[in-house]
Amino acid sequence: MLAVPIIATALLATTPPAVHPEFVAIPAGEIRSTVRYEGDDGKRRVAAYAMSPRAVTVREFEAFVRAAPQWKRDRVPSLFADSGYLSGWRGAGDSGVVHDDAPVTHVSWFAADAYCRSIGARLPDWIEWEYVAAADATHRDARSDTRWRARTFDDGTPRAMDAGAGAVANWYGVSGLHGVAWEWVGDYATLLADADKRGSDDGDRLQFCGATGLSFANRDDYAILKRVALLSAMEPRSTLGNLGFRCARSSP
Amino acid sequence: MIRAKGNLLLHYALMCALGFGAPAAFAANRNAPPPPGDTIHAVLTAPPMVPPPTNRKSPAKVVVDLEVIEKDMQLADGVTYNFWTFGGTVPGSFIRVRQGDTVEFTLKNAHDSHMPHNIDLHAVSGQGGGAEATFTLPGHKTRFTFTALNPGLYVYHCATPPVGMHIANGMYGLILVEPPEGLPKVDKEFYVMQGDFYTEGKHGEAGLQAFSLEKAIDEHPTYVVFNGSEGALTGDNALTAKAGETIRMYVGNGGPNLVSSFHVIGEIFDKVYTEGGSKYQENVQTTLIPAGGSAIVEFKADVPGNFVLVDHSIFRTFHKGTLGILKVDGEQNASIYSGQQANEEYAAPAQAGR
Repeated sequence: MLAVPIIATALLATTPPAVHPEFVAIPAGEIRSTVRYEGDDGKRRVAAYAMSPRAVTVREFEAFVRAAPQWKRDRVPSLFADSGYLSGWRGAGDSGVVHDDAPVTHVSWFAADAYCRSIGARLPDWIEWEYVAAADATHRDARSDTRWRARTFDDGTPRAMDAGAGAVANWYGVSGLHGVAWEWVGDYATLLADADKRGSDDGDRLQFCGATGLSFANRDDYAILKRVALLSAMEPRSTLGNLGFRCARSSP
Repeated sequence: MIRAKGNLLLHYALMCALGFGAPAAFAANRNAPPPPGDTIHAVLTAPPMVPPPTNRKSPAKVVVDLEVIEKDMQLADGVTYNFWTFGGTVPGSFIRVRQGDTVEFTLKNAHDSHMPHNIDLHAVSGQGGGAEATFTLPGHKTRFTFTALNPGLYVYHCATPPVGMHIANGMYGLILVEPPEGLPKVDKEFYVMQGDFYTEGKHGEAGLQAFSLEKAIDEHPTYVVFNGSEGALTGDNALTAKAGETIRMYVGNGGPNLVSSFHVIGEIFDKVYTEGGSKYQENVQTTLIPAGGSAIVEFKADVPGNFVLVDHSIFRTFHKGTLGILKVDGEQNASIYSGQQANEEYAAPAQAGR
């Protein structure tokens, strides 16, 4: 019985500590969010913060579950992760993935939140994510470029613009925001509330025909509409094969 | 974390208030009493096929299982498109039930789908036509039950934001609710559905084509086709019948934008159940099918020939793809149609000044 923790400790000792990328400083600014908040025109102030330049990788998450075995798939309570959690891994603490620099997916919001806290960080808020994801390689806000915007329609698919090997970092020095995997945000659960419920008299706007015109300040930003539709369908224990995350840190 | 936790609680509160995502809400459905009669698993068919008539004297509980599948398929010769489908085809699987049936509907969303989908069936009396009950993540399935109160031919479609994009990518199909007495017997039934498609490349530009939001908003389709692709109803895929057979076509229009002026060249519709309703008009040449609407057309294939299905907004036929063939074999009947009887010159009029 005692052998198991001893072996685990031994494994931990031999696992090289995950090297976390330097977070990129994101300067404060203003963005006209595509998501409308309580009758405003979507204009939001974003405080300076720091964001990981890339999504958390399989390798990093593997190191995390070894260090925090309560997040292994055979240990995690079903309240915190659904049956798809880390599915596809060879073992509970072993991804078996050769290309383990790929973004980790099949992770719940709870697990993503725990991971970020484990490195002294947090999940970015939606508005922080949207603010940085509005940039292309040369423009801080590329959303008026219809050609660029059209390419973001493929977010979350293998055809996504940041899925290819030649993808470049954006204006902030952040990569992969429009990749093969969608990304959790810390306050994702408020998207439903703000976009649907309070902005209308009968609620539940997002689910139906005609919903989008009422809930979104920019009704032809389809990449954001799709992303919000996806996130609003999630429970914090839900996992998907094309949903990962990255971490952020508030500025001191 | 405290902040996030507060948000989560709010989220759950809203979910419960809205009646979805809440286990209690689903439990209520599970415990609903089963309707009288048998439980039947609906036969679903890919276009242009139609399931057999229900042939039932009484309502039943009918189980329908439909899976959303995103896949690359041909849009035209050398042109592919990433279609989002109900059942793997465009239009989606044909569903056939009887008025009064209790339909237990399960929507699956394939594990490799990239986003959630749902279904709004125009045959459903209830919020969102089932959309609020079927908002389904990839790898999940949802279920709801409805009673088919009204007979008719109804469109179903995805209603997940952005709705227009989901429909433009092929997420529509037809559900027939037969009246209690059924529809009159015919020799052949076909399933045809028009849709307009918007691609970044011009018509005919080869390769995988991306969705063009600008063209969709401007309502300038690159392709307007029957059954999801140019050539879906031509060549080896042509519909076939024999002279003398009676034919019924269940014709839908998924849109998302255009209305269809549906016409079969060389035939007159003996009956058209306009807009898929219960009354029929007789002796119709061209019937208007709204986006998100349908028509049932019936005619007898009196004589052999190639009869051409078109949208009589005719530039669409010659430049965008609305062309299908009904190939009718059989004996010529000169008393109905002679074929060409003469082809000769005739005397020019006398010219002035000679």
